[in-house]
Amino acid sequence: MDAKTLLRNFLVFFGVFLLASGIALPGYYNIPYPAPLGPQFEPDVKQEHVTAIETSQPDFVLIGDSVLYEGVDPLLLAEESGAAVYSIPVPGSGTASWYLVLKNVILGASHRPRYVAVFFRNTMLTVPQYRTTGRYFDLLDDFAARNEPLLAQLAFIDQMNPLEKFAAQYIPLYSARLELREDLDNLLRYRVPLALTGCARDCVDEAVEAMFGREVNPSALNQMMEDAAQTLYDPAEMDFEQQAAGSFLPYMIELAKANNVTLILVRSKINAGEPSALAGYNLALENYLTRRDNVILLDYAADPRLTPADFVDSLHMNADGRQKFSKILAEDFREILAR
Amino acid sequence: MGFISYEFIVFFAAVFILYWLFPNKRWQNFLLASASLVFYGWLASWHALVLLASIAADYLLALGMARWKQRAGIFLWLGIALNLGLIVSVKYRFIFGDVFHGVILPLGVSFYTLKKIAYLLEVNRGGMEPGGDFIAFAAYISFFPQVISGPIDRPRVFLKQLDSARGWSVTHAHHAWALIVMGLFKKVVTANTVKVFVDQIFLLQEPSKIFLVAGALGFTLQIFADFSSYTDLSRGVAFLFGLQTAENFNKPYLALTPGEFWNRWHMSFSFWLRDHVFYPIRRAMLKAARAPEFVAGAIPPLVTMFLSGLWHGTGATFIVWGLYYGALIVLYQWAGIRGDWKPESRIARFLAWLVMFAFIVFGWAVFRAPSLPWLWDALTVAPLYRAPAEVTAALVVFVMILFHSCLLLAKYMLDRFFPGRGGLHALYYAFAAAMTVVFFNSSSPDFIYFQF
Repeated sequence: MDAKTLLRNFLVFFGVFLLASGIALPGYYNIPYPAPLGPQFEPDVKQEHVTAIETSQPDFVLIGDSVLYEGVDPLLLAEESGAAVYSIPVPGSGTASWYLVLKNVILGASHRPRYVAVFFRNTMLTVPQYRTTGRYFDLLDDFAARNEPLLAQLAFIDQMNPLEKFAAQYIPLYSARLELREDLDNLLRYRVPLALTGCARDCVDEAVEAMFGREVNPSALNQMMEDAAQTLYDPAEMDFEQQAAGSFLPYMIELAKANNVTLILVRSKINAGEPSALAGYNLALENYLTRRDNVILLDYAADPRLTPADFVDSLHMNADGRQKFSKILAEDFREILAR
Repeated sequence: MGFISYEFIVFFAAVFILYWLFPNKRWQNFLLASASLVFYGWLASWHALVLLASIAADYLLALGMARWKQRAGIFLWLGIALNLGLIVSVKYRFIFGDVFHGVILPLGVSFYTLKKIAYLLEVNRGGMEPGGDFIAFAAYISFFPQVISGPIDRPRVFLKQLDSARGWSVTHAHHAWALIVMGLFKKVVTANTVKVFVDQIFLLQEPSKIFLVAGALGFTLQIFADFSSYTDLSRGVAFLFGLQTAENFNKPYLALTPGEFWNRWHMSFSFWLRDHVFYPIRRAMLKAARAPEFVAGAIPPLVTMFLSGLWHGTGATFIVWGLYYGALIVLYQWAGIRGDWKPESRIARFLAWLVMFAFIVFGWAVFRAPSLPWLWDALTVAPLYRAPAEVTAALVVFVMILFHSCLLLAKYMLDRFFPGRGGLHALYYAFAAAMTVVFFNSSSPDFIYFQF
């Protein structure tokens, strides 16, 4: 067969694949045609933090990722600051999750805290798509309601190029790709081990969890975290003026203001070098926040009291660092309370 | 700007249209050189300036070699030193402390400096006349489908193509499309999927042996799919400009000997090493004729593969990986097994393949291991498995590897046993394209060879 015929046959077969999947998949997976842009969320918001806030009636609620989890002891912070503190650390979260926690959890509770502190680093506040796809999507879904138009727009639709938008709406093979991959993954992950070892779904999940939940090599993990963080240092992401309007930051500030909550943005110290261009970003962020009256910036990025000896890796603090940072924070929280 | 990105599609479309609208090769070469500099300077414009300055330096040094023939050696070594200096300043930047702290360093330096060194050596040997078209030379070095990760085309072959008139023909597309489909498939479906669990395994603090085997097998598949996908895409894009670039992979995992493996794996790099490192050392040793024969036979492969390890990375694992292959080649030589050895009987061939494949997989375990002590512990101290659950988890990984290997194996079987059945081939390509659509993620991880 000559090259021309091969190409023609390929196009015919591929067309047949697209057509057949276009007819079969929307019905099979119950996806409308054209498919809506942006992801579908489960309707329920995780309620454990809502209940806890209503019970503990905190003055301060803390939001952040594993850096908050490892770096701040909420009991010590409460003791030292003399205020009631409730912490919602979500390891692996980003600004999209923090926006949802603020909107659906903190402001969804009947008790309204006076302050919400958001722990961030580098450009996280203005990268709306950071930690929203793949395995991070489930984290997001925990705090999302059925309809989250702003989340869908900023974290997903705004990140899609015109080709992706077209494919997501009009090519069912693409719009159903997550469902197809999940089915394929389930087939490989569960059917074969069941046939070979008699290990059923739960048994396989436990085994895989045991493997991936085991202790990891700290230096390799550190390298991986630093590699992952490189997307936050992309030159485009470090242009604050360009990124701010399309991020969750202005919406979080407005939400807090509308609910009489003061937003405290806490820039955490990390134990790794940062690009010099980040200084311009930080300056622009500070200028931006001076124009907002319900936002306080606490910047510990260059705090000399926190040293490399306080860290266990490039991001996370050890027990001593946690204690030290909690006490430093408490001083500033006391000052904020006294204003 | 990665190959699998919307920016690249727009960039490529613009260059492609302009290229074929331009009336002659000079304009086409000028466009290729300019577009390549734009591509290379996408992240930081100074990357393109460094590349352009180093191209100009090599061009002038080559002219100097031709003009002052008695001092050609000085120009040559100056050029080599400049190019190696560029590699060292990027790859071994930790030597300079915090000088490059926070600076986004240019990619692909290891690839294009080898092209530049090859050009200087070729000119020095009298194999090429320097002082040709500077634009064509710049287009050759910076050619954007190759600048990040090769293939490392020989200067004579590529510059000859740039010196020829090129007009659009539909045969360019006929050559290109299958490479592009397979490149996308291997990257998006195979490499990106397998990478997820391979990374998890090599992240474990103390993996048991069964995980080490699963991780090594997974990485064996991942690195082949990842690297060969980049070559396929690069060659496919080059074909669309009417340029034929070097092949880089020829079923490397079917090799029966380490020598054959390196004749099939990253071929453009292997041939570069053979031409510019292995043969010169061997010639020098034969001329000296003082060393015992077994030493004269052992040193060239050991030095060549040591340099290959250094080129691949800065850690001890890369150096050991290089030396490991050097030692394997020497051991096979001492056993009387040359690179082109092929036993008569099928059983012997199968056993030879099995042994070599095991060596290859072990080599990738060394290459991918986070450190040598980590690997040593996994090989010596760690048990086969710590709990029955680990066997189940490893089984899941083996099934995934098998599934993705079968997808690539199917292509090999079609090529091998049904070369004339075009319908089956077209069906396979259509299936590969459909799978690529299903597995496509806009947030796919970077091509792993970028770090080189």
